[in-house]
Amino acid sequence: MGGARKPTIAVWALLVAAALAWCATALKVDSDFSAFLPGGQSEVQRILSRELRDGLASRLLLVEIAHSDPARLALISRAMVRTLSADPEFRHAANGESTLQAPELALIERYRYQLSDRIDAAHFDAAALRDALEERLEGLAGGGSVLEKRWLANDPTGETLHILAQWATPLQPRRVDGVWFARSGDAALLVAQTTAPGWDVDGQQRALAALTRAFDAARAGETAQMRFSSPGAMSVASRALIASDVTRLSIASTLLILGILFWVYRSAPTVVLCFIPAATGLLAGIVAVGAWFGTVQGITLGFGATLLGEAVDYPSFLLTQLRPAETVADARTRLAPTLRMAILTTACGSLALLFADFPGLAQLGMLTMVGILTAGAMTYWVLPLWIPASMVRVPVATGSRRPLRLPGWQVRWALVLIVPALAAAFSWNKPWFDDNVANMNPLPAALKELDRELRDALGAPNVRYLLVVSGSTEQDVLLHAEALRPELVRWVGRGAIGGFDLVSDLVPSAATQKARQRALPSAPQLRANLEQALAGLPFRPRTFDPFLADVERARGGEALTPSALSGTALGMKAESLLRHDAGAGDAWYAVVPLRGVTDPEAIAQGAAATGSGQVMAIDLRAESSLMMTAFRLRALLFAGIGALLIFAVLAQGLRSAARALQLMVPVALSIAVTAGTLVASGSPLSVLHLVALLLVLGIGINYALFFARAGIAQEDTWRTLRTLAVVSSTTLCAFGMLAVSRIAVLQVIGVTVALGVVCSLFFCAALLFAREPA
Amino acid sequence: MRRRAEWGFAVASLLLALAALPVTATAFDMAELMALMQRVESSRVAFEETKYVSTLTAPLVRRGALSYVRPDRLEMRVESPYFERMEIVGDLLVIETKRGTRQLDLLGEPGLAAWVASIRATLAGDRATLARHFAFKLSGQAARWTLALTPIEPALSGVVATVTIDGVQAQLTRIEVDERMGDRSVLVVQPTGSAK
Repeated sequence: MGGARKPTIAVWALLVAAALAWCATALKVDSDFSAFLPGGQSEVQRILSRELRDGLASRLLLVEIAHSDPARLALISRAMVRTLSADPEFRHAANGESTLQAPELALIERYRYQLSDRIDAAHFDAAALRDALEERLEGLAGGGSVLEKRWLANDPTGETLHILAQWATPLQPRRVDGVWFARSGDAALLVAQTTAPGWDVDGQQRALAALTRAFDAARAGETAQMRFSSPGAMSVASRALIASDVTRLSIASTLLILGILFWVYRSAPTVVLCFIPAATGLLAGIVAVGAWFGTVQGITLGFGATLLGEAVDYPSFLLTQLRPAETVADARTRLAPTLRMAILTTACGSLALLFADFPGLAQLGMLTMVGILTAGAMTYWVLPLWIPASMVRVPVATGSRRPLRLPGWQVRWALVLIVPALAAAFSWNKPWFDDNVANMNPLPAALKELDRELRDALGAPNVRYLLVVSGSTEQDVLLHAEALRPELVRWVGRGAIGGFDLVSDLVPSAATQKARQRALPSAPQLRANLEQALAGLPFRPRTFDPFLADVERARGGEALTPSALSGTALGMKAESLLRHDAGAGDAWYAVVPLRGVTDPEAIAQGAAATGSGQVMAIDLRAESSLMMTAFRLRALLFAGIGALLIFAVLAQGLRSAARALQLMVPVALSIAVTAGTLVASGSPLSVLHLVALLLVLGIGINYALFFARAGIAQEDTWRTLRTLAVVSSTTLCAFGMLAVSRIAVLQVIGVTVALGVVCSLFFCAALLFAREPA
Repeated sequence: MRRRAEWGFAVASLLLALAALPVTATAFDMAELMALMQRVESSRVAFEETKYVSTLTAPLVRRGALSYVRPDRLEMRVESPYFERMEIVGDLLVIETKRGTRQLDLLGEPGLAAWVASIRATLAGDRATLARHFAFKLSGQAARWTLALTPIEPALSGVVATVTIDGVQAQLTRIEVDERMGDRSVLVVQPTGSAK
């Protein structure tokens, strides 16, 4: 055996070196937290998921400047918008400053006769012009005369003002000194659209740096302070949080595990050898995830610590079971069936994760499965070759030959029945499942709260109800959207909704623009109509020559396209309402957010009744719950398959289906009690809890295997207790550390597994310990 | 002797007049005008406003009533030729025409806010607010004064060149607004009694 040692070390060292080199050069770590949002099964769900990842909303940065007097805050706001507008990291910045000077206005003016919904053949006849001119005269006399003069010569029918009035959103923040302010009046508000999509964390970080620079320059030593929020800012914050938590927790749990192992073995080389399979497994897992998925999630790496906690168990199972004067190779042979089953069942437990609909969770599944199998294989085949028999001494708790005094079966069964009964009693009337996708968000509550606050202040609430109109081309979607308009107006009239945002109101279809252009009279005709309308009115001759020229130009002008708006506030809005899916099917979508919905039922029916099938009504909250429910059912299905595989592995290894079932009963009970305890303590089960319970299944089965073995040979009883003490304390260390994480995903899994480990120990001890072999 | 006395009287009166001249010139300053205005709790006058607009062949004439109630309520009610009512309370401007009612937050419209301030801050005797929006120059006596206001903020100065307010004691008699583009409007307060 000793002869095999050197070659295996050499091969292992080569493989590890190659893997490390690959990690150093080719591995990409990203922290796009939307990887922990489901990818979605239906078309609608995929649209939503993509919107969350790189839609307009993901690029929108909400900024608040406070802690100074309003006049200063307004100055800072103006200076920042100027700086940000010129910065390549931003496509657009706005603070509500008079839109009447912005580039948007030039666009509206230029295309007004294609944009105004009032344009038809009768709009410029003599009678209509006469009405318009009289209205202008009245306006010139009145209080708003300055505004009137701005438009008079070019636009006597007031189309530009009409378009502006139509587009005005009712949810604008109030303004102080001409810029947006919070309702309380003590904080200036602005919005900016980043060039980088929300998932591009590096791009978002650059944008945030530019924002901070702009603020520092604008503030110029003032007391003012800035707060901001955006999905991108959250990604940046979560990356920082994940990096710091992962580092902190990994170091802490590694040190704790090393401490325990050192206390057990009192030998540095042995501790190192115990760590080698786990570390190799972790490396193999990372390489597998990186190669298969392209990138590794920061959070997935965070689980490296937990994998370490689990995989470190295998050498411990072997070494703490050593009988006096037994070689590691002999012990391996003696324990081989148990060890094999332990490794395979844990790998089966992670199956449900591997097929998860969340890229992040699938990565965890792969990391766990590859890591466990590698660590197991190292322990099973390689470790016995490497450890000379003389090297391992396990000084702790070798001693007492005193037989264990165990409670009678009546007492055990009573405990086994009482504990689940208590869990059931405290949890039956509580909600069991939590399908709120927001709770999957790995960010701390404080950041989410800040985001909600700024959204409220800016009147940009999260939309719950929307329609999705689909089409094969951009123009196709615009036509469908226009066809939908009368129905939407009817809903508003009936009070079913308060309002809506329709992309075709901003950019009508080319066909509609063409029709409006055709409705414009020829130059001689318009001149004649105007002459007739002006009769008797005190306007100077030739006052309206610019108007005649503009109409003539509009007759021959090209259609306004959504891309012509890009880089303006209008472009930002149009982009959020009109989406292109360049992927499968090359589809276009118009997203129609509905405001003030009072009758969701009517909307769903109305959308269905439009018949064409191109309009879908979506309740985002219901849809995301549906998505989570679907995922939960899928996770349960794969967990079921995993459980069946575990049963098969056990039945084959133990050569008895009945024994396999006996082993699984205490684990099933501990999962039920863990779940019940969580629910009873007021945290309904989310998908994350299910994932954690799968880990409990794998770990629990390992304990069951060893407790069951303990009954086999009385002389090994104490050794087995020692083994279980060691492996459960290392596992508790790893997951207990996760439980203190600030990241929800890690924290939930830590708490659940730690609780599950305690339950598993209890039920396995109560039901399996010292039980006679069947 | 008599001649001497006459001389003496003449010299004395001349001296008196010389002494008095600078006194009367400095006596009516901004502080005094503001103090004068601050004594008025409310006022209501009839007006006739004439607008000279370059694009029109004839001036536009409007008639109505202007009223002020301390501290911050200003109402301009036009009866002819078209009904229009502008009411400003605090920072809220309400414009009512026969086509409907519109509300504006003055804080959000710096140009409009400055224009409102020219009249309301003068009526209120609020020198600080005037100084925030305008450079001002006061001339004349309490019995007949002229206050010339030049907008400071670009939002108004881009449109309005000067606002000139004439008054007699605490009573405004004429408000002339000269716009940058050459148009102007002259609001003349009608003799007392013609207000409703």
